Amino acid sequence: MTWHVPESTMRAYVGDTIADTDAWSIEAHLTECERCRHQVAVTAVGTPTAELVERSWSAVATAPPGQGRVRCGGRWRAFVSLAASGAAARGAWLLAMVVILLASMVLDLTGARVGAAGTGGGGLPWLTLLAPLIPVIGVAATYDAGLDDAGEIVASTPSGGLRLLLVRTLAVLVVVVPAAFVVGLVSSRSEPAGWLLPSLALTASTLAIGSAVGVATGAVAVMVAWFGVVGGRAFTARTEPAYLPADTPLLWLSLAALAVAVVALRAGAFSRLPLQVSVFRRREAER
Amino acid sequence: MNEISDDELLRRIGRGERVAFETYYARNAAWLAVRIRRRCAGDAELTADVVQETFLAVWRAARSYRGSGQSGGWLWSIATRRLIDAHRRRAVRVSTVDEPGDGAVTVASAEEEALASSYGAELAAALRRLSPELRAVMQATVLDGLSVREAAVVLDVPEGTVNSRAMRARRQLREALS
Amino acid sequence: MTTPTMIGTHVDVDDLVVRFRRRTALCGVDLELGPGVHGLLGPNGAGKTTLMRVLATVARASSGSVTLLDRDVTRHTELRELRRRLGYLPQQFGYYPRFTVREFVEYFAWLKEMPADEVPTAVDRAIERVGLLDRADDRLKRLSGGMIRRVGIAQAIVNDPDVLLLDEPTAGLDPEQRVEFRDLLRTVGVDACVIVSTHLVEDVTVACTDVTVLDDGRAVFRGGPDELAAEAGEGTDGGDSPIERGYTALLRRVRAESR
Repeated sequence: MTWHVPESTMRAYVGDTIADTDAWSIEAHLTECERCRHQVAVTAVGTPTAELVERSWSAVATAPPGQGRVRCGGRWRAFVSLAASGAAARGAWLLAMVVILLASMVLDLTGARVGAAGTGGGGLPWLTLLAPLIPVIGVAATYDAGLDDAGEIVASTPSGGLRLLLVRTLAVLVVVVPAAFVVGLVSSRSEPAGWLLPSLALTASTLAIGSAVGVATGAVAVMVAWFGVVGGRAFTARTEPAYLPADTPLLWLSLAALAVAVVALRAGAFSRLPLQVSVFRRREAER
Repeated sequence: MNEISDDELLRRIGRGERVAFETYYARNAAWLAVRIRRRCAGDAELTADVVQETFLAVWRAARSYRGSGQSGGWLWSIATRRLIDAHRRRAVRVSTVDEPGDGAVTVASAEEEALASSYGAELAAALRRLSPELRAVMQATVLDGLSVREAAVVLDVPEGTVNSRAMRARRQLREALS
Repeated sequence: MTTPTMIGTHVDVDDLVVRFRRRTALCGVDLELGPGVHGLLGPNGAGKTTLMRVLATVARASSGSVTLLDRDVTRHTELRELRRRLGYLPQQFGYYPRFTVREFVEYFAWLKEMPADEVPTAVDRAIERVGLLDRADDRLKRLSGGMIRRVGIAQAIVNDPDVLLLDEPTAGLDPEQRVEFRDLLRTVGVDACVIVSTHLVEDVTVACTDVTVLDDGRAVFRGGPDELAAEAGEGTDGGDSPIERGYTALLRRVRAESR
C-alpha cells in the first residue's frame, strides 16, 4: 500500500467535518489498509471519539464473556456438520455394520460359501453378498425423514433435500468401504471388485428409487431385488452364477450410471420428499 | 507489541489472550467508532453500544477468523450486523421517528479536492451533486455492502424507497459521467 | 418507524385448501402479510399448524396459491432460493441430544446455505439474541424445555429470515423469558414478516401488530388486537381481558352463523 490518508484529511474525517464523498473514499481505503486504521486511533487522541472508545472499553473489559468453542466456517466444516447430524439410528447402524462384516469374515474364513455350488469351491463369498447392502441400510438410516428427529425443520431448508442426502451417503460410504476392504483382505476370499461395484450401484439405485417412494422404501426394494437376483441365483445355480458382480463389471457400472442419471434428473423431488413420510407425524400433531 | 499484525492479534485472541484483545481494541475501536457514528446520525450512545457489542463478539469469535489481511472487512462485517440490530431496537422503542438525519454536508477543502483526484474528480463531483438521501442509499448499499432490506433498517425508510433511490442515484451518476 | 414494504408482499396466500384424505384442514384461506409481527390465533385443531407447515414449504396445498417473497412455492427452482430466506420453528421439533447448542444452530446455518465465512459469527449472534451464550457449548440433552425452545428460535433466526414462522413458540417459556422473547419478536418484526401461531390470547395482545383468527379451517377475523377486543361489544363474560372476551365472542358468533 503506497498511498495513505494525509493527516489533515484524517483529522477532518475523525472530526466529522468532511464531505460524504471524501469520507467514502477514506472508508474504502481503511477497510484495506491496516496502517491507516491504526492511524485513526492516533489522530483521535483528545477527541470525543477517543473518550467514547475509552468509556466503551471499561464496559467490554468488565463483562468478560466466555470464549466458547467457535469453529471456522468452511466446506469441510459444513460437510462434517451435515454428516454428523445423521439420524439417531446411526449407532444401531454402525453396530449392524460391524456384525455383518464380522459374520461374513468368519464365514468366509471357514470356507463356507453362499449357494449350492459352494461345496465345489464355487459359489459366492458371503462378503460379496452382504457388503453391498450395508451402505444401502446406512443411507436409509441416516437420511430418512421418519428417522430424523429434526426432519420437520430440515425439510424447510434449501439443503435439506438432495445435498444433505448426498453428504450423508458419502459419509456412509467413507465408513463402509474401507471397513469392508479390510475384512476382504483378512478373509482374502472376496475380490474388492466383487462387492465394491455392486455397493455403489445399489446405493445409487436406492437414491434413484427413493426419489419416488422415499429413501427407506427404496432401500427395502433394493435389498429384496439384490437377494432375489444375486442371492437367489447363487443358491439355486449348480455352477457359478452367470452375472456375478466380479465377472460383469460393465453391467454394474451401467446400473450405477443409470441410477445416478435418474437421481440427477429427479433432484427436485428430494426437496419435497420428507413430506410424504412426515404426513403421519402431522396427523398425530393435529389431534 | 506494535509490530504484530492484526491477523496475529486475532489468532492470539482466539487462544484467549486478553492482552492481545486489549491491544486489538486500542488499535481498532477508534476507526470503527468513527465509521459507525457516521451511520447513526452522530448518536454517541448507539455508537458506544455497537462498538461494545462488536468487540465482545470479536472476543468470542476471533477463533473463526482465518483471513490474511482481511481483518478490516471482517471486523466491519460483524459491526454492520450489530449496527442494524441497534437500529432495529431503536425502531421498536421509538414508534414515531423524525426524518432520517441529513448528515453533515461541508464545503470541500483543498485537501478534499486533492483526495478526490485519487478516484477521479468527475465521479467525486457527480457524487457530491447527489442529494443527501441518494448519497445515504449509495453509502449503505455500495460502500457498506448492505442488502436493500438492511439499508432500509439503517436509513429508516421503506425498502421500496431504498430501491427507487438507488436507481435514481445510479441514473444521475451515469448521466453525469457520460 | 415507517413500515418498510417489499416490492410485493412477504406472504400472499390465495384461496388455500388443504385436504388430508377425508378431512379438510384448511378451506379457502386468504392471507396477505408484510413486515411486522402477525398473530395466528385459534383453538386447537383450527388448522394453524397446517397453515404454518404450508408456509414453511413443508406441506403442500391441495388447491389455491401460495406466494412467499414473490416466489411460487410449487416451483422447484424458486423454492431453493426462497428457503434460504425462511426461518421455521415447528410446534414439536426433534433435536440431536448429543449436539451442543452451537453445533445445532450451526447445522441449520449450513442447511440454509449461508456463506461459509459468515456462519460462525451468525451462529454466535443468534445464540446471543436468545440469551443462551453462557450455555452455548452445553449438549442439548442437558438443557431444560424452555432452553430447548430458545435453541429452536435461535436456529430459526440464524439466517436473518425475511419470513419467520413460529408455531407455539412460547410453550415452555417462563414469564420472564416470554417478555424477552416478545422483545426479540418485535425487533425481528421491524423488517421481517413474523408469523406467530398461538392459542394464547395474551401472546397476541402484547407482541403482535395484527391478528388473524382461524376457526375450523377458515380465517374468520383479521385486524388489530384492539379490533379483536371490540368484538366483545358490551359483553363481560368469556375471559379476563378485553381481547380474550372479544376472541370468545367472535368464536361464538362465527359458530352460531355457520350452524
